[in-house]
Amino acid sequence: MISEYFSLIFPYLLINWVFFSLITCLAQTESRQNYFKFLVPFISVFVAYISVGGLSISEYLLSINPNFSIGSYGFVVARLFPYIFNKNLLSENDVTVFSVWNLIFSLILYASYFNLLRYDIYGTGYHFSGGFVILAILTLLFIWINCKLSLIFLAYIAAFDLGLLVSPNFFDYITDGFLFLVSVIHLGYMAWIRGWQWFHGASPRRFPLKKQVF
Amino acid sequence: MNLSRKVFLSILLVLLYLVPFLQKQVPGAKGFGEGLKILIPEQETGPEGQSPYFAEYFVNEARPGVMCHVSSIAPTQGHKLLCIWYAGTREAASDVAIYGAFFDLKLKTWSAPQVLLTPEQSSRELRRLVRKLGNAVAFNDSRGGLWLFYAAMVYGGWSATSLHYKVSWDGGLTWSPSRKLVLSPFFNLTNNLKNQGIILSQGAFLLPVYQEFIYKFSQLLLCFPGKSGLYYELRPLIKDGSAIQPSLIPVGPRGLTAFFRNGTNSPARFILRAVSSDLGRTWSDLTPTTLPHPGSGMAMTSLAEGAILGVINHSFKDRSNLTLVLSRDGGATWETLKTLENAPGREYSYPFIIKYRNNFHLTYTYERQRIKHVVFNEAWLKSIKGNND
Repeated sequence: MISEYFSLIFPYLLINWVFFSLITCLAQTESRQNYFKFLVPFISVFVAYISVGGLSISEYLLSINPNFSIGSYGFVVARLFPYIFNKNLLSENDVTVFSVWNLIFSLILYASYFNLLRYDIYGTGYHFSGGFVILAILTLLFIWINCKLSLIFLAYIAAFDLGLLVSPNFFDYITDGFLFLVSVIHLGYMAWIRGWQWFHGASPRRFPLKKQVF
Repeated sequence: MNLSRKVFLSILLVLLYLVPFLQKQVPGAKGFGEGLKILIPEQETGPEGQSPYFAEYFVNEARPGVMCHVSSIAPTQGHKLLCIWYAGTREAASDVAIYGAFFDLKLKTWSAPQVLLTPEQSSRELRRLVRKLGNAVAFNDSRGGLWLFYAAMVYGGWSATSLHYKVSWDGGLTWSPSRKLVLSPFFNLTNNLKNQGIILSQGAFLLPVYQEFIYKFSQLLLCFPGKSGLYYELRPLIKDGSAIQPSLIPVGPRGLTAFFRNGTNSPARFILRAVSSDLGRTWSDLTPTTLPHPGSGMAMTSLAEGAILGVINHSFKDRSNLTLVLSRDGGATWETLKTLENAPGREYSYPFIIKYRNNFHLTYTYERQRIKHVVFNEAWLKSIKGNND
């Protein structure tokens, strides 16, 4: 099944992101930039797919979260993009808006699923329903206001139509536990920066602590 | 973004959403639609003309330091039944494996138990980490598939289970590799199962499952077996009252009565009940039955004339008795038929019952050391009913 193979892509992207982030924090010289652009994706293949104790790192990650959403793919690709192509796919503002969307949608979905709300939203995600209409309208809105998040929103439904993920539920294409957590971390970090600016009148000293590589 | 690009993306958007919209309009589309109905297995005969029959067997022998629990039983090819259960040093231990044994209906003997699945084997088949195994249920579909649904844990205990399945097309001799079910939007936490499903038209079946992550509640899994695996949809069954481990009774082509383990901590708990007239899309409010309940698994099945036979721990306190109870009004009122086991301080629990041909086959945990198999027919039930009167 295509979903079994597609699910293996996300851990590879995640490992790339982790490596690029670590190197950005630790690397000394700017001259290594192009070198790392090729080296990191190459090394990540081995790290992601070589078996350790019977399973690969990818398979361990998929054991914890078997269904990384298209939203997660979008988030990690947006983070990875500037490291490889030297330009942003999404602006910081877009990422923050995306994180707010993920947080709100996830909280509503989890509250509904785990019996904190009376109405079951998750069960309506297997077939076309009101939730699909809302998502379509939101996507249309993002297209017409020139928001790049519209690409991720289009990817939700395109991937669902193609059955790229293991879950047959459309809402599992939008969010998952990992995306919820990274969105919370991102928003927490942004709030910390804003708070610091408010108190000190300047941005905090940010990673990388040493010279910026990428 | 220029205007032509916006128009292009807008048209693309409409086309992409048209796919699920049109799929829903297809007659006979998969899902909790109007087209599905319950397939009631043909009753061979009622109690008339039968002579009472009752027999007891042990599926396995007790082994020192090994507990076994949560059995289920299903007919297989070749005039046999397959019983499965889990066994290990304790519940949710890493050495727990799922065992199986065959009962030859002609010879009336159980085969030696065999390991059907270990955590390591499950991990190899899924290509995912599996540290522990839990409840398992065997279930026949209407197209010759024998399904083994089982709970497994990557981390944590019972509140971190997820469900998986294997299927056999040769009566349990060989099994497909395990596949994972994604049933929860948050790290796939946390579903479990205890009782068998209901066979539907179109090759589909309904499987009752339950949640224990934040709140305890029950869900229905609608399954459509296909060539490329299992298509499934999950719906909440009852979200109130900590009602878990549902046992489903078919009532007509689209009616269901569900009985639930009462997951509250009240000292005087009763088995809970709800009814649906639309194949589980909507349910009545939850009502307590008159059956006392110690917080344990129970099993229900329907009899020839629409009565319901229950196998329960008839106690508020413990699992030291196992009792047959009968209802003739859909579960509103009950009478005690027979106490099968009663030994203070011992445990007789987690019954599982099926009707195959003219006999009922009941399996349950016997003192946590063995699985007991009890066979009886409706004539026997009628005879003990007569004796009780």
